[in-house]
Amino acid sequence: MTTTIVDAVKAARESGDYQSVLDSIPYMKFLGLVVEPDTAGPICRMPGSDHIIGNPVLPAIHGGVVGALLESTAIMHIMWSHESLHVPKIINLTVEYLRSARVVDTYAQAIITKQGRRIANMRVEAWQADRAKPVAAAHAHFLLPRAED
Amino acid sequence: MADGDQIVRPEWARFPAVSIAGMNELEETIPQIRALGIQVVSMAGSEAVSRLPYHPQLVGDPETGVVHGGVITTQIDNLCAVALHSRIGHYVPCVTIDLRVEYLKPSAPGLDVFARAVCRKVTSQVAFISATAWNEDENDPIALASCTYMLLPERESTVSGGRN
Repeated sequence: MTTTIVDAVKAARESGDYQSVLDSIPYMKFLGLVVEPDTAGPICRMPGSDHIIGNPVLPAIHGGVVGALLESTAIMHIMWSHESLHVPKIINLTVEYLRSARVVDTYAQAIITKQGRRIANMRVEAWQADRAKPVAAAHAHFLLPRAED
Repeated sequence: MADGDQIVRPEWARFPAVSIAGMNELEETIPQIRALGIQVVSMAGSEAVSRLPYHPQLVGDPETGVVHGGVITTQIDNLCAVALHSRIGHYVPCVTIDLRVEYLKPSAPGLDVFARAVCRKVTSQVAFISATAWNEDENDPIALASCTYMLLPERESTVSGGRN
């Protein structure tokens, strides 16, 4: 079991397809996340579905789920960027909620704003129909494993 | 009440009054909260406590079995709204504008996650809530959080069914 995700990350580095990495992480799979390759790093797409709703009257996606999408996208970016063969540990996450997230496809992409030896500083944005109108943005710190391989 | 300044503003009173039974009914209407199995176990004054049962589908690291941070983010975001509603006594529509979570240590695999939120301050438009999460010992937390909500009393009620 301990080699599953490491093997998946190694295979993804060969193939460029990170979906199998994501699918080995139960909660990301539970959210239905889909990895869409991009030269700037993986874009994670979260399809609209009933079980991610936080406000059934509007309706809108749960704010915590938007936070989970942002965190997941940062994790996938770190593994894509060859910084870790393992799921990096999150230290903290600050989410700004900018617009109500409708129950449609939501996308997120991350950048590493500063890369240290032990810590990665990340910025992540999530958007829906219009990338120029993000629904949420986050900054977060992750702990990187000491030695990768 | 932490600072003794609770005021039920006239614009809040038109919304249904809060009760613990009603709160868990409301939680049941929220698909993501139902999917995670989160339950409010206590609610009084400015404070609320919820429990998130461990489930393998919530794991964020298959090598360790540790729950995904996003699950705790959701538990805390939800519970902060519960504490806010408890404090003001009515289901006033509100939205999260900012949430910061510090993950002090991983949640222990196989154990439930408990969280306590305390609403520290409410103004006519904004509420400030802090929260902690733990597995077995509240004095040994796994996460600390602070959350800011915006109140939207001009909106129609977002409470659906079974609230009165």
